[in-house]
Amino acid sequence: MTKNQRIVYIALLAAQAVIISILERAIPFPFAFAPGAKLGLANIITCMALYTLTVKDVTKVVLIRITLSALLGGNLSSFMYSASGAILSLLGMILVKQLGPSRISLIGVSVAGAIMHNVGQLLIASWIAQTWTVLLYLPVMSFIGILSGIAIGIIANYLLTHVEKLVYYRYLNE
Amino acid sequence: MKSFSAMIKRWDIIVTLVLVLLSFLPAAVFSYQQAEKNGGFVKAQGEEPIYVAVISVNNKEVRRITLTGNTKNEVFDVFSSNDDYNTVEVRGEEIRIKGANCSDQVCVQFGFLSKPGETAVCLPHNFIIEIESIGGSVIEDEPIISS
Repeated sequence: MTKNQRIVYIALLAAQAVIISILERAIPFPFAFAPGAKLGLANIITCMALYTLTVKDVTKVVLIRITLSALLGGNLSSFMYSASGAILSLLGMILVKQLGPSRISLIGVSVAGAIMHNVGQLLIASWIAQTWTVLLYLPVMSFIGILSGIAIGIIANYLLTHVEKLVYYRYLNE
Repeated sequence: MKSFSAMIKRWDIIVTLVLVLLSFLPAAVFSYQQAEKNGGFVKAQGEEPIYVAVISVNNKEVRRITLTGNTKNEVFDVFSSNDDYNTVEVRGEEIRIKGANCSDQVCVQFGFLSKPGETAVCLPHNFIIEIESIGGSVIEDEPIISS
């Protein structure tokens, strides 16, 4: 991958992630028992980036996505949530991915990402509200996180094995 | 479906299980603390603990409502600034945020709260309802516990 190709690829991924997270805001969440829970569709892009780019470039994609989607229709508190959630989930996914492709698949990586995202958001929520009883919602959130994480892992795996360019980039990255 | 089961590897399951178990950690710590806190009171006075709803805005307590034994129904607005309000409904021994003019409406989705530790948070307004349990005695005699 030349330098320009890489820059364009990072920009494309970030743009797609921004659009997905804006579209996701328009979807009303179907589970009433978990207030504030979301599907986390933008995680598809992070998963794809993790398997086709270096850690440094994945971080760039995530940071661009957080900043842009906060500027396009967020506010300061929603920016703090998505930032802490996204950074923790990125760290978790990078750590889990270190186990290597023979031990862990995209499903495990994206489930770890989803759960760590909830942890990050609830930590910020309990810090703002100055009460850690908010953390008691963690089990419900991680249950939803497992379901959406599995679905997103399957989607990302499908894309990574069927889109020709992605297969090639993944081969280059390994 | 075949590709799905072929995709899953052993560490996927291990990582998921570990994270799920860790997510129960705050709940475990909380119920342990709660048991320790109430144990002495219940033994000393032989009464059931009383549940109190604590409403705070901007980290300041604005109102406490004793839920245990409450039979009245009440609806009132709590203003966190000149324009921002949350409508709170007390129905018997339960309390909920009935409505709000916040941007995300997440606080309304929490529904009715009645057990200690349950929380409804409205983050845009920094508005919180928490249920606390206080060892059996009359609330007016209790010193205000700031946790």
